[in-house]
Amino acid sequence: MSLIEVASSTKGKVLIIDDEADVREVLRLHLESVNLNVIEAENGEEAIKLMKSGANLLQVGLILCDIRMPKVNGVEAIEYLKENAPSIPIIVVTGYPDSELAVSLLKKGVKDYLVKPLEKEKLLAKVKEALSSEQEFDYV
Amino acid sequence: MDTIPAGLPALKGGKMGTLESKGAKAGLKNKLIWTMLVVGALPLILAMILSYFQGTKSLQGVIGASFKALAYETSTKIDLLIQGEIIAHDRLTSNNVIRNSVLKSNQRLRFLDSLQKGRVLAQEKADWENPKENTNSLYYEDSSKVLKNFLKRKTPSALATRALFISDSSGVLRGTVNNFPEFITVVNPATEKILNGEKGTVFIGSIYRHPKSETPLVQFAFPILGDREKPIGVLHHIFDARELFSGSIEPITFGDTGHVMMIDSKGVVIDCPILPTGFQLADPHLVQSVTGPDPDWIKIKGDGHGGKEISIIGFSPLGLTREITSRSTGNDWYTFAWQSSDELFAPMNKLFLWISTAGLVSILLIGIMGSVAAKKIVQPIRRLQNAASRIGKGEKVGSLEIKTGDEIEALANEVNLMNEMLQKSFSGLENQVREKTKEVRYLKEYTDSILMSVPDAVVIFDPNLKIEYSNVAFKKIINKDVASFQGESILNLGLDPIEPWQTLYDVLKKDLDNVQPIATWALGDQGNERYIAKDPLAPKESPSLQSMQRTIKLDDKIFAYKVFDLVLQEGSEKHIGLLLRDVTEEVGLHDQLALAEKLSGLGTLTAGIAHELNNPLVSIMGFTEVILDEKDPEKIKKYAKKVFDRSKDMASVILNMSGYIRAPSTADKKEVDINERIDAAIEIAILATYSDDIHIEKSFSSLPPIFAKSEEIQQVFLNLLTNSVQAMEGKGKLIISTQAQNGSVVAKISDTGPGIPKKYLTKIYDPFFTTKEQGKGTGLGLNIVHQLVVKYGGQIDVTSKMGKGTTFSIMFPAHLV
Repeated sequence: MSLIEVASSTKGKVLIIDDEADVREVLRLHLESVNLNVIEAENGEEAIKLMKSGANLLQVGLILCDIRMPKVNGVEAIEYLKENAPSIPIIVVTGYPDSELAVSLLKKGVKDYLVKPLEKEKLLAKVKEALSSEQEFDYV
Repeated sequence: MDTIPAGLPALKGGKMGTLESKGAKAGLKNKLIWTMLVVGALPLILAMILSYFQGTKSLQGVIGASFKALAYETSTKIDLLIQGEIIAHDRLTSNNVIRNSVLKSNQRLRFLDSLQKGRVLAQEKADWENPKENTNSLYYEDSSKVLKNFLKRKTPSALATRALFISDSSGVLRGTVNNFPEFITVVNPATEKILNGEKGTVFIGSIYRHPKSETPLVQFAFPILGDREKPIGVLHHIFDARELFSGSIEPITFGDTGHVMMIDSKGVVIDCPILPTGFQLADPHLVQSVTGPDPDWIKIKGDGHGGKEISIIGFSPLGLTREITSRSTGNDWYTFAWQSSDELFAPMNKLFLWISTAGLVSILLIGIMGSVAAKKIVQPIRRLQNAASRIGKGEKVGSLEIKTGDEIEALANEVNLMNEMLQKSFSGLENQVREKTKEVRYLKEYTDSILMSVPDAVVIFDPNLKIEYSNVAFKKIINKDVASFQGESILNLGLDPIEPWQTLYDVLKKDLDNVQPIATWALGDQGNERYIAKDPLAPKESPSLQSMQRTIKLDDKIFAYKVFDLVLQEGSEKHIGLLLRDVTEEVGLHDQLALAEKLSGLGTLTAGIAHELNNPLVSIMGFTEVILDEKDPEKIKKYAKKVFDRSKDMASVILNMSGYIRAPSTADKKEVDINERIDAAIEIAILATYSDDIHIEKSFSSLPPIFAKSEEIQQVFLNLLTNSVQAMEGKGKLIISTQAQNGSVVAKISDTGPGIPKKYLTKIYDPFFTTKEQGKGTGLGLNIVHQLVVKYGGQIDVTSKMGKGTTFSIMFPAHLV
């Protein structure tokens, strides 16, 4: 996989939305170790702003999203993203193991629901799985 | 017949009815009698008076007419008498002897001179006045004989004769029947009148009295005519006036006093059975009234006989004679019939008496008959009245039997009908009342049984705080088996211990002027929540414990009590009610609930914990994995440092959590010194902040203890301090003060943080409400503080200024020993 290929591939770009810098850093370190490009957002609001600017809305291959965040929280951000960019797979990464919330979010089209703390191997496996699958188009 | 049955109940029922109807009872009968008397007697009396007057008038008319007729008859009779006399005397004057005697004397004297005449006349006069035996030629002259013969007639006039004589033209006596006349009668007015008068002139003189015998006399004079129908002498006839007329007048009497009399127009009595002849009637008015030109009668005051009363006088002029008399003397003669007023009016008085008697008898009869009739009319009315008054009193009255066949019977029938209908409607009413009473009783029993069955104690107090009502639950609470506490104060029920009751009493007294109506005391609606996807840690409402704010402990049981306003009736005095609910179990449950809330459903609380712990754990695990693969010692060191930092965060979180989760029910309540608990809380809070930048100012006063669980009080202050420290983000000043205040303990905690926006001030006690960033708060801190403060009967207040800081002040009631 050449650098240009990687750089231009939407599949290699991952958006991390989490309010804790340490969490974002750990996730970025893990993803970068398998040569994935990472962009970060501190909360839902910043993520939406990011997605609206430039070509990111189409070029992000995967979104990792926390739930509990200030300003625009995860649930609201996911609702927005699923409405405007339904093809981008979203994996929820939360420290908040609520099965009802999980079901509710999966119904909204979330690809997966991961509970913190999570091991590197498990994270990467899920990310790979999400990236390798066909991009989902609006089938709702 | 019906007096007895009607009278008896009137007496019996009269007790109550007397006051209003006694006066009216006799009225109708009297009224009827009076009406009859007025209607019957008044016209009768009027008719009687009228008939009396009419009768009197007619009677007077009749009497007057008969008096007039009597007078007329008498006058005619006297006229005839006088006419008879005139005719008789006319014949006498035609007698030749008389005429010749007069002629001879006239001739004898005519040829004598006056001296001789005087001597002869003197001689003859002397002879007349002093007669010698057989020498008085006058007596024995032929003329005198004729005169004497004339008197031999047996007529009243002959008998009444006092003198009968003739005189010649010189007035010298020429024949007489006695010695009554003067010798020369020249001066006699009759002589003059006749001698100078015309043919046929008769003279009738007025009544005069004989100078010696006082006998009333009347003189008749007739002319003696000569050859040429010329008067040559006069025939004088003097009568005793009374004797002459009495035969015609005096026999006419009627009744005891009625009689006819004759007077002349000057009022001199010519003949009267009572008055002496020649008597002058004293009343000129009377005389004038009874000397009219025609026969008539009058009613006049005075009777001419000395009486002054009204009398009726019939009068009649002497139709034929008056011509003579008026020519002779200017006088008229009248007859007049009269009766004394006593006698005259006797029939009228009798009539009056009869009429009055008849009137009186009639009135009496009307009265008696009226009374009887009124009784007949009034009797059934009284029965009606009696029945009506009994109906009015609500007694049962049978049908009235009145058969008068008139309006009263109709009225009685109406009353019967009314009575029937009244009784019907009364019985209907009675049924209604019975039913309503039943309903009311049922409702009362219903309410009573509700109040009796209600597990809560209900006590109603009057405005003096005396018990007016209490239900079974209340009796159970005070454990006294007394029938009723009505009128008692709760302090007088002999309850032991009395302190909680005293507290309750004080509360009631305080609330007496300021209670809320029960209607406003309603629990908020609690609708079913439908789950929707949302941040589970976002603020949400939980049932407030405020409705159970006021509790009291009685005999190891905790009661929530509520005072409510009781509006019994519009405008009545204020009553208050007390509701006591056994919340012992609820309080226990509440403690558990508080715990359960903290642990609620793993979905929320564990989520909170998990979130708090998992985030640092992510970093720790992640960095550790990075370290494992990392060769660069600098990077390894950097990541290891991060792992350590995050571990410290976790420790802090766990510390917080441990204090929060610990079950409060494990420890018992005891006396707690607030100052001590605050110190302990400060230690933990500072430890948890890992900050050296917090300055603490303490000003503690000596405080009475409060009665609580020590850990819970510590938790209150720990949560508040943590809150403040976190709000200040590790930099700032904490000012903590305590003081005793009116049986309470007050603690204030102020920070120099950013303050709480006004819109959040009402939400800060809601569970899971937080303004902190992820990982810095559970959102349960202030909720727990609030619950605990309320649990111990305290209060919490917050004031905050943006950019300046926030002050919490907490009050707990002091534990009084």
